[in-house]
Amino acid sequence: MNRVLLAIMGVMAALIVAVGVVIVVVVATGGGGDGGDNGPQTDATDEPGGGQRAEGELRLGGGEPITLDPHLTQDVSSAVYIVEIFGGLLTLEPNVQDPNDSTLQLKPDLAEAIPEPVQNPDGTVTYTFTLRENATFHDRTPVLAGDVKYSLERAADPATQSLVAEFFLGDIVGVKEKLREQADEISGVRVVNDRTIEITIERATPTFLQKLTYPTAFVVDQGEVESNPENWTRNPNGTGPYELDEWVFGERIVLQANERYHLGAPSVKTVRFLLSGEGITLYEARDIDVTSVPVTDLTRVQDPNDPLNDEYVSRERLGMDYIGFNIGAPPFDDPLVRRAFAMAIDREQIASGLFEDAVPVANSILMPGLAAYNEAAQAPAFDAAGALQLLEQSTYGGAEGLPPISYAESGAGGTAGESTALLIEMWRDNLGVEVEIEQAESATFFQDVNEGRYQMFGLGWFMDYPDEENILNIHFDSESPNNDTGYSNPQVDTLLRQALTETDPARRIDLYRQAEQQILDDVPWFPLFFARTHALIKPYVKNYLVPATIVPRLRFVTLEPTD
Amino acid sequence: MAGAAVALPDDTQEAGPPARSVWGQALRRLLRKRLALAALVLIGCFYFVGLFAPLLAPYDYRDTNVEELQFQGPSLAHPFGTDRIGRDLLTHVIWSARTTMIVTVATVVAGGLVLGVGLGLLAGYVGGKVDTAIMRTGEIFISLPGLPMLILINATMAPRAENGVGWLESHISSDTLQEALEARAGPEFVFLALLGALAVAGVAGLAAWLVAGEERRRGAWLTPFIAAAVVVTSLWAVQAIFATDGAADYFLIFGALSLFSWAGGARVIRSQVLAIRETEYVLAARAMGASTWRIVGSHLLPNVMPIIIVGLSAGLGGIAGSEVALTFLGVGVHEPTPSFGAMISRAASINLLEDYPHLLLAPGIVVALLIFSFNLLGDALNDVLTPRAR
Amino acid sequence: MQGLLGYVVQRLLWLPVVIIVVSFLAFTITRFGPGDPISVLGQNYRDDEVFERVRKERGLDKPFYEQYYIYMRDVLHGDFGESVSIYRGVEVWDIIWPRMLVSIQPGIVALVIAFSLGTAVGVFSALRQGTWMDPFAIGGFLLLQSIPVLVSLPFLVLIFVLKLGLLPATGWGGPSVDVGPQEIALGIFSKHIILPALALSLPGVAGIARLVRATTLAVLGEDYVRTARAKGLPELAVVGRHVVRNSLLPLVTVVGLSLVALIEGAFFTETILGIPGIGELGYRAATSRDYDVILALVLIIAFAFVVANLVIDIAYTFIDPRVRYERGSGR
Repeated sequence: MNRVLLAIMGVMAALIVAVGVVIVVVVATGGGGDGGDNGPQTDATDEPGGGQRAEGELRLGGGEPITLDPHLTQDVSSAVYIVEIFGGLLTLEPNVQDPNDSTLQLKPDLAEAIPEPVQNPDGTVTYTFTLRENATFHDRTPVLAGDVKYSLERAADPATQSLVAEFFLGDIVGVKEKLREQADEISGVRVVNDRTIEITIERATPTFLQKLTYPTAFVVDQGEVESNPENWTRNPNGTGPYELDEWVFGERIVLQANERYHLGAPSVKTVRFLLSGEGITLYEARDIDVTSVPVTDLTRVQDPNDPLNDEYVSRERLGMDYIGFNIGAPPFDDPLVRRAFAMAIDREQIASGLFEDAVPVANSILMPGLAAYNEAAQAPAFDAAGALQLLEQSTYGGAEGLPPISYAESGAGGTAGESTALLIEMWRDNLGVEVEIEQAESATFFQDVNEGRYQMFGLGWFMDYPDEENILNIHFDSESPNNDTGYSNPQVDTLLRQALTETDPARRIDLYRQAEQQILDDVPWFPLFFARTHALIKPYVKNYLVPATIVPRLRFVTLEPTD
Repeated sequence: MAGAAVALPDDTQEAGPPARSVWGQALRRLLRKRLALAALVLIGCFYFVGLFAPLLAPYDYRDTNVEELQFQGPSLAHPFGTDRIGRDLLTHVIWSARTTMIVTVATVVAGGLVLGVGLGLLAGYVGGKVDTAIMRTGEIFISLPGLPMLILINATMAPRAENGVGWLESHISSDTLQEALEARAGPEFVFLALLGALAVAGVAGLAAWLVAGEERRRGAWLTPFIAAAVVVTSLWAVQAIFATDGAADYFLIFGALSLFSWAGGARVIRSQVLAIRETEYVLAARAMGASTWRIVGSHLLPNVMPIIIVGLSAGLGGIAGSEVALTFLGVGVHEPTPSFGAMISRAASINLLEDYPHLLLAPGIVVALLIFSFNLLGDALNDVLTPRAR
Repeated sequence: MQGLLGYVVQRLLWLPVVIIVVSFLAFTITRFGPGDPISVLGQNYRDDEVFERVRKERGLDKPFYEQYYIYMRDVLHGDFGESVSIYRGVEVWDIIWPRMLVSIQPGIVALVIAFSLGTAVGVFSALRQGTWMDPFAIGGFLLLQSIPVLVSLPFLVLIFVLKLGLLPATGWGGPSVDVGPQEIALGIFSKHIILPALALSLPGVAGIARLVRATTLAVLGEDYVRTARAKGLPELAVVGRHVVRNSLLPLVTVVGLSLVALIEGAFFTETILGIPGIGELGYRAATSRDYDVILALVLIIAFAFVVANLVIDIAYTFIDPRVRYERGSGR
């Protein structure tokens, strides 16, 4: 009995000593590497940190993808990786020569060239794609027309459960029928021979080719998918400039260059994404080479005296934030009230106070970078007196006549909550209206917006491809399922639908501009800010492009050797 | 026999033997412990501040001033500094105290007292199938992982709570009541009238109690007045809760918290009741034909009181912590209702901490002190009220 | 031992009931609450028709008791379903298992720290009883106990990361999907573990210290201690042996209670520090309505709770001989 107890006591004592020793040792040896501002001193753990990197390896911060299956992708975090691992017939290329130019060019990817549309007698339009000879999967098997057809069929298969197939591929004849289980095959996709494939769409739609650049239209390896339906994305056989080396949940994604990439092998051999950890902290600790800059650090980074300022870039992003008004919900059924609420907001003040002027005020809905962007377009400008006047002229007769109003936003917290507080204050001070905040969970927020549950709400929209249709038609056509305000203006409908099928670029721009000005005047949306990406890039990273939407860009990067 | 027959009526009027002297002694011993006294004072201050927040706060908690007041450190005008959009932190601390006060009191009343004590008493005294049913249900709730379930419930049920509370809010908000008062008509007016009558009754009871001599201070005749006072207080509390901003949040939080916190207390109360049930006093009272209510009120409750109080004060700390935690995670009270959880979550980012630690210090220290005080008090009460086991 | 065995068996029989009730509750809450994984996924292109089709494909349109039956049937076959809104298509177990291993690590280290520190402080306090150091030490740790993890953690970050620059701020250098003992060991000894382990352990030290202090005091007053002292035996050995014997079992109950605190604390350490563990997963699953992940987590945690409670209750029988367990009357 005594010995046992002594032993237990001995163990306890040993434990105490051990813990103490471990803590001391660990802190002492590792000190300065990760947390401080010393140079790279690493311990031999399997962390790729402490400032050391392998030759030819680019380290980035990344969000965690939801999936690596291109046919199931619709979110930004997944798309970032998918566009590098997979490819489709066409792609969008950023301007490598001039990083400040945010326009994206439609370029052929697996296809040899961008085909001209051929009008058919029945009104449909056929594109004939010829595949490149040297287009292969990562495992060197050539990409054939049959693979393209298989991929499109799979995307449109109800069993795949893609939520966006109808949107991106719905123009193709037969896709809707297949999605509704009325057909087994897409009639509009026809394999002519191993290298040629015909895609027929219901009517002439210039945006269709842009939609083909989105992951839903990417090509996957039939053999791989069918033999391993559950887990094939763990080791995907794609056609893109990079191969997936490993994906460790919550930790990292490592990509290896595809030396046989048909558009040119990437210069950077390995790209390592760190999925956890705060970007800017990792960047300053030299764990990653590029990071985006959170709003809280913007002042510091924009200050010319701060050393980080040399590494700071800011690029346009095709996205915007806006306040949406539910046209069907009083008091926003009256356009004067909508206008009044819009005019009561001083966006410049929010931009300078909260966002350090890093976010440009949006004068319109279409953003810079789109062909139809109109610098002259005018969203309602800040005019407190005018706003009050309009309110009194409205059917509600002024602030007292208004029903209780609430503003809904997704419960993202942080700066979102703070800019909302500013909005509320402005409505209170300038209009005398007390607006309540309704913070909704993101899980239900979007659904509720579409069901018209809120009177007004704050949202943002990021384009998936650089075409006006991806914002104007989707949200302002009265019959579009994505119309989140219930906006219905027959004139705008006509303009938008005409623009959809208009093949003359100049005329198209004109149509969209007309529609936009109408929309701006009717104020179903009040545009707040255009999106911009703010990044810090280490000096030895060259040609790191920050495109306006999610498109492949890593293959252009080059790394200079460091000390 | 004769002696017993004479002694008993006294016994049934007073509470069971240990209770009375324990109270007085306990209170005195408690007050002698300096730390406990300090804790009590702190808690009292906190709740006082919370109760009178609208009057005490120097600024409106929604006032923002991005231009001039961003991130100010502590100063004369703003003793705790300001946050990113220029809101005064002292004001927010005061209003957050109110939020915590509301949630803790509501949960303790609903979960601890009503559910915990009520069900514990029921289970212990009635026994049998009722006992088994209540205890089994309690065990299930104890086995449920608290925080995850709370997150789940709050995350998923919030909109439903909104709808339910919305109805309640529209009927008993301060404005509606005021209108009813002026109009002297409608169901709200009746409600107000009833409230008024009960309040009068409660006050009358209080007056009578004060006026009555020592011997008459206990007794069954007090019961209706006490009941009236309790009803009035709870209704007033309910009205106060539902008339404020973010009532649905409160409702959901304290509802969920009560659901998970009643079982522990009930179990303890039940075992205590089981022990007392078989004592001579109770048996004798029953033999004398005393009603269940009298037995519960005169014998059980007073003996169970110490445990209730200790449990309450310990629980309060936990509940305050839970509310802060839930709000921090985004599933508690929402903007713009101020809460310590929200303040801490805003302050906790590494970048902000580096430059503006005062954002965290203000709410952090207050919360820590509060919970510390609850713990100290609970400890002291424990020492004082329960007999030394060692 | 008859009574004890019977008690254990009775409690274990209770386990499936709890599991069913818990899963049913969680199932009901998630299904009846607003939002489902499809609505969470489909934020950009909202087309109710499309959503309904996909829901039908996943069986989410069936009546909820049917869904529950299918789910439980699959669970009994070991199929816990797949994630939809976190890692689409990945089996739930593949997501949870590595995260459990991650969450355990700060937990284990925290327990070790709490026990060692608690024992040391407890003995120290007892030996210094009567001086100011005794209440000071205990009171100090009581204060630490009162600080909720979500408050203490940013403070710790402030001190250790920003001011002293000793520890990494965020992230996790620990094990990955294919985990073996080597990776776990590496994880435990990495710098990343110190912050969460510290934050999780500090609140527990007070309770343990109190317990050890009480038993030490009791032991110190015993006759045999005085005789041993008179005999000239080293103080520490004498005190140590008896302290350990008396406090071992209550400490077991503390372990059980700590489990609860650890699981709840994990939510915060993981969310604030960006550690990919169970707490963070649970939070994400709840907010993105990933049904299968939520239910799997709830089941696992409920199971752990029941077992922990059972261990505590059994330990109580050894500590307090007056407690007896008769069949049929609970306790």
